[in-house]
Amino acid sequence: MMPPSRLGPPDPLAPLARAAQSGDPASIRVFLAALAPRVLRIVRQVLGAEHPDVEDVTQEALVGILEAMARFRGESSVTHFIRRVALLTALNARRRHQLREHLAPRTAWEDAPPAVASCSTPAEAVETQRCLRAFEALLDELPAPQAEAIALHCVLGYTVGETAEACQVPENTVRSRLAAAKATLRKRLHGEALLEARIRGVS
Amino acid sequence: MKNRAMCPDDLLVLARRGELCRAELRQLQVYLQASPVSRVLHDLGHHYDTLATDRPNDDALIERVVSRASECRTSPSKQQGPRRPLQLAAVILLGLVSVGVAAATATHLVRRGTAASAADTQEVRRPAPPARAARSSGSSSRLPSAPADPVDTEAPVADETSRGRGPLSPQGASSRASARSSSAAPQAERVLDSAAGLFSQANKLRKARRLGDAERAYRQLQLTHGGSPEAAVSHVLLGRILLRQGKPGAACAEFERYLAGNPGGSLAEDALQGQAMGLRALGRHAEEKRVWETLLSRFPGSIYARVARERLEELGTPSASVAEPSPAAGPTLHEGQPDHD
Repeated sequence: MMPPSRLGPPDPLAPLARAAQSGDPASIRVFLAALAPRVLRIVRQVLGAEHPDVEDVTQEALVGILEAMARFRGESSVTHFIRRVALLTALNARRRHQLREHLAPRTAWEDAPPAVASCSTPAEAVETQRCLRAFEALLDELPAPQAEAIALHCVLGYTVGETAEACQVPENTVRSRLAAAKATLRKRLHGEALLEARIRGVS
Repeated sequence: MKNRAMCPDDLLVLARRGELCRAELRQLQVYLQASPVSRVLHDLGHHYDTLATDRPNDDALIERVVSRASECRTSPSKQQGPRRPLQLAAVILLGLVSVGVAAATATHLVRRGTAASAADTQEVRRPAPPARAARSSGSSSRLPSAPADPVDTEAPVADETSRGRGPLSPQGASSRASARSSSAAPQAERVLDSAAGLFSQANKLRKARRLGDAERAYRQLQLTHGGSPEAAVSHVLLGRILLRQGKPGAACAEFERYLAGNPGGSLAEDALQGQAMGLRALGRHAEEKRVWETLLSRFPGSIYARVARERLEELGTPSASVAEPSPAAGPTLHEGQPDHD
């Protein structure tokens, strides 16, 4: 039986997960139906909304979650657990795609600038797109623990405490990983004229 | 005012959720000015939040992946997923290795993945099932109790739900509710498990000003009946609750979900107004301006038109040709907002 998570209110997915662990096909389907929307969102956030592999990677993540549930012992909430599996699956898919791209021309969806809805001017949109591409390249190149930490923090919007619970590591470890990832990002961006303009703007 | 020590990383996250008090917002601004990398992460965070919205065809996509994933799990003798379990476990495990090893390992992974994809593609890409399987709510509802009144039929909701994809009419819900009056617990439970039943329950809680309970009820509805018309409407209602609770970031997310999935929906006008108010509370004035302008262009005769024009004047944007009203003390978060209750 899974103990409740140490953080936050009761996990709404816990009852569904328990039922699914029994192996009952109907319960498995209900569990997957409850997960699928949030898994889909995570996959889109990592791969990009228009990536052609969104559907396949979402399915891959759901299968992976079902497999992983057999070993889940309630160390974190079910929500954090499934989000982490979905994130890792999508990050792996990104890495596979990036490696394939080295051998093939960039596809149309990759060339199309990502829609950046939160910018008010075209200049801001271009700026954010450049930072986005730098950040995504960083996710592909960082050591896996740092990539996971910065992805949970920036992509999924996890606090340090939530990241620690999801990854089952101490909060100080999370802080160290985030600091290392940000240092790498800073070095990467420092070469960009964009960041230099930002630095001049705030100094 | 909350008094909590918070690291800068958490300030960024809670700002996205709209959960910072004014002092913490000032603290965040100071931090962002001092750290260009954090400014980048702050901006990217908002971008990633916009990617988390649902899309109109998500129901069909979700149905396909759930069906295929379920069959992978329940029929191990004829697994048709994109990866075998052992290969999948290897994929996830290899993802945890550092870059120096991952480069060589991932190359191997790509070769295996490509071969597996070629073999499995035809099995994976099966046509969608002819009938959309009902997503029954297997979970027992833990909703707080509400007065056992007959199911009400609010006009905006009826407009949304009567265009539904199943027998979700208010009349149908009413007949279920009247049958419930002399029923035992199991029948009442079945009513609560339906989208209409959950929606009705949540509305009652909202009308009773039990906003926390209503929030949980709407989220339960969205979780268990995410593709239903009731769930769509619940995004707007939940967004308004969140605005009242001082959670503009979360409120904006709900309004955006509704607009993304129902651009022509009958509550689009309300969703735009709510979104604009949320953005105003978050200090995202450029976006707020765009939303007000969208509202006025799509709904020029809107009940929110006066508020929209006043606000655009304050933001320094001349509004359209209609004469300007006399300036008021300033709109509150709920000014001009009819209560759907």
